[in-house]
Amino acid sequence: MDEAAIKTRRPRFVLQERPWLNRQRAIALSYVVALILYVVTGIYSPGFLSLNHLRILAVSASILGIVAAGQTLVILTGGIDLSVSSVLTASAIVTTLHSSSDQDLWHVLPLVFLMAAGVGLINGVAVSALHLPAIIVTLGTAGVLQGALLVSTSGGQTGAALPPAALTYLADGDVGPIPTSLLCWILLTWLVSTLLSRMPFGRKVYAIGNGPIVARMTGVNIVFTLSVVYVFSALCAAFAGLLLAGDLGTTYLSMGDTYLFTSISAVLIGGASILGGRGHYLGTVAGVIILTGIGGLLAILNQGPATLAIIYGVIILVTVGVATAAQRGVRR
Amino acid sequence: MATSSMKSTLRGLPPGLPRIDATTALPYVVLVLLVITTMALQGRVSLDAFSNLPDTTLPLILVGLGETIVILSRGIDLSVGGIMSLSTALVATHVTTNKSIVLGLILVAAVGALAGALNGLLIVITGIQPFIVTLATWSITGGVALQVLPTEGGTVAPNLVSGLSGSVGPASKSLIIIVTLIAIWLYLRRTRFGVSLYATGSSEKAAVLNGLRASRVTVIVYACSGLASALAGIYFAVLTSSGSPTAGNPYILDSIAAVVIGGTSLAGGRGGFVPTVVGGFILAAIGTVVFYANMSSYWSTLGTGLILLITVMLYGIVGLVQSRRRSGG
Repeated sequence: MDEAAIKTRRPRFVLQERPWLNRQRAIALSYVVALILYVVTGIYSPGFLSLNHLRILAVSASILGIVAAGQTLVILTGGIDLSVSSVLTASAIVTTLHSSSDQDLWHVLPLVFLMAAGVGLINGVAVSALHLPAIIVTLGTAGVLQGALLVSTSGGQTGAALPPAALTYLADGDVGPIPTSLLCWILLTWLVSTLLSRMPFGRKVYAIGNGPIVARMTGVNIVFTLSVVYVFSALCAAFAGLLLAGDLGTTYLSMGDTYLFTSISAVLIGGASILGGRGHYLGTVAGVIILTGIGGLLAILNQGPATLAIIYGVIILVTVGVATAAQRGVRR
Repeated sequence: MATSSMKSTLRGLPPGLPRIDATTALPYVVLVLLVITTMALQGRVSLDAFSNLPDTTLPLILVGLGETIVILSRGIDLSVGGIMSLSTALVATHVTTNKSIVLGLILVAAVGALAGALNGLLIVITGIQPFIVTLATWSITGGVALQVLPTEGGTVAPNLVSGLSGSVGPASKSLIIIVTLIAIWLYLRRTRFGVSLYATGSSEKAAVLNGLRASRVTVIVYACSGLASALAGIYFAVLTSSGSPTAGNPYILDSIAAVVIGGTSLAGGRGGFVPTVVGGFILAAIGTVVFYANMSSYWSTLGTGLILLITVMLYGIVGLVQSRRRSGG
């Protein structure tokens, strides 16, 4: 069986035996693609690389990057999280609805993150303890959350409220020359990369992705690890929801919808395997930069969502296709 | 591991009758409970409340048919949404007059089947996971649908609408179509293709070793799914008498939900179309119950999520108990 062959090979990518470039070929490739994309677009339209425009791109990339951080960990364990968009929307709407001033955030935010953690915990426990497919469990929790939002806001009629000033600052403010949201993203990138590359927890994530049975035999507590991973994913989505509300200055029921597709795409473009066990968040970061850049490029070319959708699809096929072909080459 | 997959192959294979156990019965029980609840809310014993259920559920059942076949072969098809949107958009922009309806429909169906076959070919040739291939082609076909029909609207040929809606005698045409689909499926699973499908889904390696051309099965499976999605798109256009370039998107997850609620295993090789039909009716009946309970329609989204989670968890618990019993003795 093909899958079995891949799985026995995969640990080589985890054990650090080879030079960095060779080991992380797919990730290096993604950064090359990103660089070419930005340079070519910058030559075509110099305004693209102006500080103002780069700042706009950085804020939207940060929001996507934060959602994709959770999605990366989940996909590395061999799962998938379809509930990110619902958690994102729920966090944004509940927060803006219940906090008229910045002071209210002190008691609303803990509850929002608690709700997100609860959703993640249900996902994680159902996937690990009941051995259910992640795609179904997270689809179910997403449906429940969406339904609860619809019911509590009467179909979005009471959902629109101005986000408090603190959220706007969180998304669009500046710390020195850097937008606050970008700063959050950089911190998260450092945290997740350290977690994956240098901490025992990262090893466990890869181990589960490579094969849960072997992972359990080597002493990995699968229920605990997966629960943490899915809770982390939900918390990332909830935090991104706060940023998006602050950035947009409003909330609505479909605000998170696009983040489901783009977060998964970013992970895949970054070279991670949907089967789990292979990939890194640094690859996802490149994927996020590419997707955001394409969005900006098409805006310059005056192209609508139709072209964007087609190009996203082609990019996924090409990048994953090249990575898969390279993988087959390595195997031979 | 090997014995369990062999068992499931044998269970899925004709001509044996389906084994009745907790898992097979579950979707039927849920559907009956929903029907009883509706009758209780109405205060009388009558199926009138469900008279237009076949109409509204047919697109989901068609997409579900394709999704069932794909999932039985151990794949997954996310592009059903894009293909369905594309076919709805094509019907609403190109099959607008009574002239050449048949030719138009054949072309739309062919586009769907071709897009599906392309999925299969990409999976077989490149070796990329079905989830990723169909995620990408969903985006692509959805984008093309938006190019064909940028906003909701368009018109559908009146003869097409009258030809597919309404009823023949006591039965609505959609119900007749559903029964026909079930009959085709029951025949199909006894053919060479049906056996190859279950065999490939149970263990592709074993299927290939036994002389089955698994890659050919894969291409046919995805072509069928594309065709079914295109038909769903056509019927959706008939149902609404207009087109929407995003009509198919809700059907991706709904069809997977219908398949899973019916009890078909995502691990491939176990399940069938009839449980998916039941799963589809369950999803639709939730809306009926919510309506007769005088609750806002938003509750049906919540209900769908809850029913999906609960049934799936029940399947998971039953599976755990069974595997524990097996390993215990």
